[in-house]
Formats: sequence, C-alpha cells, structure tokens
Amino acid sequence: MRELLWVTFMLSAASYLAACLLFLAQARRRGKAPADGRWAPGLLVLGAALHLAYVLLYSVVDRRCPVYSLHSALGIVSIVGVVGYTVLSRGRRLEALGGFVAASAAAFLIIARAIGPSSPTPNERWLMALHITSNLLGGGLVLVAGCASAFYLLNEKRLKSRRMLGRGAKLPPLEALDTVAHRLLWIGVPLLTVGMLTGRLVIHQAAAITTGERFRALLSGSSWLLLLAVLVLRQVGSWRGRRSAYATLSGAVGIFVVIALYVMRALLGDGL
Amino acid sequence: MIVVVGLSHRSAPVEVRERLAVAPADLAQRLSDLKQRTCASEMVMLCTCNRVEVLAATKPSGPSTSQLGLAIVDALEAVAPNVRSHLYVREERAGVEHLFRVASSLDSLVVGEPQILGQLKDAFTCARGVHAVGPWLNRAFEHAFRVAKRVRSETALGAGQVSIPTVAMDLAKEIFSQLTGHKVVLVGTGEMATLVAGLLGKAGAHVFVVGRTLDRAREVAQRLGAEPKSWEDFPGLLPIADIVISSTSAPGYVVTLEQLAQTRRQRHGRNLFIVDLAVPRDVDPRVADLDGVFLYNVDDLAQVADTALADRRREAEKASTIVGEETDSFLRRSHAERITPTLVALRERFRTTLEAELERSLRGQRVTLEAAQKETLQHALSAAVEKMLHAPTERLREWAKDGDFGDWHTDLLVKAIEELFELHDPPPAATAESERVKS
Repeated sequence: MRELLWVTFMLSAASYLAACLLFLAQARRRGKAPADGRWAPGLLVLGAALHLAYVLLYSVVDRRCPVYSLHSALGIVSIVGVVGYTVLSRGRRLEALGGFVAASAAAFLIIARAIGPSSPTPNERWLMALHITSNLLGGGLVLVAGCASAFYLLNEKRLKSRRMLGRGAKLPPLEALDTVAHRLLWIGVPLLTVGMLTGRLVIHQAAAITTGERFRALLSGSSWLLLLAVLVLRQVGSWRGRRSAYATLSGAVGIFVVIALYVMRALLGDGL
Repeated sequence: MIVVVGLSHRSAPVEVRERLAVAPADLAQRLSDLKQRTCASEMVMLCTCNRVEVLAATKPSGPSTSQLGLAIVDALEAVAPNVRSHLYVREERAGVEHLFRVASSLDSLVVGEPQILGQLKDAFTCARGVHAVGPWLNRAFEHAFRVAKRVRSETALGAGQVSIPTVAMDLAKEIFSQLTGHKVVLVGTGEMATLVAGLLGKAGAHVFVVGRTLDRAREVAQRLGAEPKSWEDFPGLLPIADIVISSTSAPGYVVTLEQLAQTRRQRHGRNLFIVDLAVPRDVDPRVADLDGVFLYNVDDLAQVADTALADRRREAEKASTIVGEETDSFLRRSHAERITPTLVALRERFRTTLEAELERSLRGQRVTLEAAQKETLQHALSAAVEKMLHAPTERLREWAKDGDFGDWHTDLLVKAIEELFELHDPPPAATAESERVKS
C-alpha cells in the first residue's frame, strides 16, 4: 500500500509539473504557431485525479476521514482549485492562470507530504466535518479567484502603462479573469459562510481557545467578510475591475495565510 | 533539377506585375500552355498580388536547368512583352532555397505574413489538377510545406501585429477576450479608424458609426454593416460603449475627462478601450488615469507595430538559418535518390551478366544442374555482386550527397557510370546468347 501511495504521489506531482510547464509554454507562444492546447488541461485533470487517489489511499493508510487530516485537507483544497479552474476556464485564454494553479497544486501536494502525523479525531465529528469540508471547498475556490485577481492586476498594469505591450508572455484577457474570479467567489463565499457559522459553533463548544486559534479565527473571519463585501458591492455598487481584484486578492491572501498557519503548526508537530 | 523564374515586389513595380498576373480561374490553362511551350517535365505557377513565379523541373535526360530557365523567360516575354529585365532566374540550389524562403514567408512584402503558405498550397493543388507535378516538384513542395511549419513553430517570425488596425484588434482581445456582443462606437470616418471598426465588426462586435453628418455616417455604416448615429447621439452612446475609436478632424477634445467621469455610474464598472487615431488628439489624455479606461493613441499603436516588426526582423535571421539547413538536407537526399536508379541498373547489369556467363559455361560443358543447385548458385552470385558493389555503392552515395558539389556533379557521376558500364545498352552476354540462338 505504501508503494502504491508513493507511486500515486509521484505521478500526480509529475502530471502537475508537466501541466504547469505546458501551460507556461502556451502562454509564452505569443504569435507563434498555436500549440496543441489539449495536453496541458488534460495533464492538470490527470494530476488532480491521481491526487484524489492519493488522498483516498492516504486516508485508508491513516485510518481516518480525509477532512480530519491536514495532509489530506491540503489535497482537497488543491483538487477543488483545479476543478474550479478547469470548469471555468473553458473557452477562455487562461493558460498563464492554469500554469499558476498547476504549480500551486503541486506545491500543496509536496508540502502535505512533509507534514507529520495527524492530530486525534475531534469529538464533535459531524460539526467538525462540516466545518472543515466547507472551508476546504470554499478555500480552494477562493485561492484560485485570488490568483485570477492577481493576474488581472498584473495585466491591467501592463495595459495601462503601455511599456510592455507586444512583448513577453501573453497574459489572460482582463474580462475573462474578472468573470472567472467573480464566479469562483459566487461558489466559494457561500461555502466559506457555512464554514464560518459552523466554526462559531465549534468555538462555543470548545473548552479553551488558544491565542493562535483566536488569531486564525479573526483572520479567516475578516477575509470572509472582505470577500462577502466584494460580492455585495459587485451587485449593488458596480464594483468590477481593479478595486474588485484588489479586494478579492486581499481576501484570498487572508485565507492562504490561515492555511499556511495550519501547515506551519503541523510542521512543528502539533497537527490540525 | 529545379528552376524558378519570376518577378516579385522586389524586382518589379506593380505595373509590371499586373501584366503577368493571372486570374485564379485561368491559372490552370496558363500553366498547361507554359509547360507545353517550354518542354518542362514538371511545372507549378504561383500568382499572388506580390509575385508571379514559375517553378519548373526537368528530367536528367531532358534539357539543362539553364536551358529550361531561358525557355520559360522567353515564354513569359511572349505573354507580356518587356518583362524580361524584371525577371529573375534561380537554378538548382538557389531555386530550392528560394521556394523554401517563399513558403516560410521570408520573401514576403510583410515578412512573416501567413497567407503566402496557403497561396503556395493552392498553386500546387492547381498544378496537380492538370497533372503538371511529377516526383521532383512533389518532393520539393512537400518539403517546402514542412520547412514553413518548422519556421513557424521554432521562430516567432509571425509573432505580434505589424499594422495599426491589427494592433488595435489585438489589444481589444487582451481586454475583452471575446468581442461578440460588445459595442463599438466609431467617431469620425477616417480610413484607419474605419479599418479598425471593420475588423472589430467582423469579430462579432456591434458597431455604431457617429459622423458629423448623418449621411456620411450612413455611408460608412452601410460599408461596415454597422448602425449609423448622429453627432447628437454620441454622449448617449458613451455609457453603453465598450470600445471607442475616434478619428475626427475636430480641433478640441471630442471625449473629455468630465464626460467619462459622469458616465462611470451608468457603465457599472465595465472596462472601456479607447483608440484615438486623430491628430490633433480627440480624447483628453487624462481619461487614461480613470479606473477601467485603456486609452491608446496612434503613437502607442505604432510603437507596438514597430516593436513587432523589429522582432520579426530578428527572427528572420533564425528562419534563414533553418531554410539553409533544410535546403542542404533536401538536396543531399534528392541527389542520393537521383543516383539510386543508376545503382540499381548497375547491380542488375552485374547480376545478369554473371548469370548469363554461368549458364553459357554450364551448357558448354553439358552439365545439367538440379533446381536446388541452381538456386544455390544464384544466391552465391547475388551475394558476390552485393559484396563487389557494396563499397562502390556507398562511395557513390556519399559523393552524391556531398553538398559542396552541385547537381552537375551528380549528373556527371550518373553519366560516367552509365558510359563505363554501358547501362543504356542490353547486356553483352545476353547479346551473345541471342546471337547464338539466332544462328
């Protein structure tokens, strides 16, 4: 079983990295003969499928539900991000974003491998499972939305400055990035809302809360609030473009920091 | 054995080119006439707005490429008198290299433009349709198409946009991705601006044409398949516009900062791409500072086009190296292939002569062999021929492949072997045998 786990890990990492290189090569091929565009998304999906197999196998070896292990949780975030990108990027020229998503998924896979043994399964299993699952799903989508927003700001700056026009890699079109980020937020923020509400209940039932947990709760709460504000302001205040991208990126960075803190803690041996 | 005769934008002005030009419908007929008149074994005629070229090939036993080139020049002179001084003739290696350069768009007016490859394929298909293509041109054209593909994939020769309308189109796609359903407002009816609007309209955008007079707007709108609007309608179009192309002769700004700032709420945060092609400028440059507004004037677009042109010039050097390599490779292969029939004939001559001699010798000694014994002897003879001719064959192939020599070198080798071993005559043993049978 351990060997199989190792093989799926290696194959998944190789697929992600190959997809990343192909996506970046496609983005660089400004004006050259179009490359076959099916390989990179295909490899990305293959990587995600192998990653899923790896997460499931790991759960069997670890004898616990994937959501209770940070090792598997990181995998779920990556897989959700890849699926979100794959569904929403169809028909849009988002190769550069695809490269970033593939690289992030590979990084999550490799970092998860370095994480030590999981912490014990909590008592309030269903509430915790709902809390973690919704946060993982929402977090994965919001991270991709953050990537799309970062690309938006980069390309917007390039187009505004006019200095680098006609040079360098072809970045995704602004409108496509804005649409993708918005749609990902529409799915991701409600999931994060469920995560926030269940998290509140978890905190209420907890006997004691550490300063670290309080900080993480505060950071994830403010990030969620910011992302919710983006959605609301897009609807009522015509928030689009640069402002929306900045706010989405800030929210996604907040979520990323929360995940990073969990990872740091796990790497230090404390578990989820 | 290829020769290219023709004229292009480099050698002849349009007045001369148009005299030799042939309509696509008449191309097959003109090609058949030329082929018949010049005794070429194979011929393809390429006719575009920038070049008219005849690519021909001759058999080793036919006229030389120089003779064929002169015959084609005479034939073209007969079609259009006084074109001779504008015609160029490229033979052998130069002819092959020219074909590869044309296919790769290195010889085009706008280097890297993609249309030439399609035109070359059409010319080839037309020639095949009238059975004017044989093995030599077939190989040369197939190789030329591969070279063009290699140049496209390994260099950025076709990268970037080199004209202002296409640069504007490219920028629009960097902002909006899909142009279908987006609204374009063309203000003024300048030629360049109309071209840009036409391209955007073809890409699926809905175009409004605003003119100082409604009649002029209608005229341009009809040409573009767009919607005409009067000057008074323009402020009302700004909130719904995604792209504004301005090219009026107004002395002041047509689009001001205040005007756009007022429409921001109505625009619901949508991006606005403004192309100001007017001199003096039509759009207040301060609007570029507004969130979601992307303003480019004619200098910005020209700068992008110049950058792309400079890039293409740099890439053309890489592409020329590829063309040179491919020309050498093609010539090496074709020389080696040209010597193959002679080598086959040489082997056959050795084999039949030895077999005839053996047969005669056995018959003279009244020896009758079993079928199996005969077969063994024939195998032994074949093996002896193979061994005897292996080294000379390899050496001859190497000489034929040597790129330092020309076609004449291969021809000389072929002729020398044919003369030395009398490959055109029937085998001497067979002749003796037939004489014996006759007597």
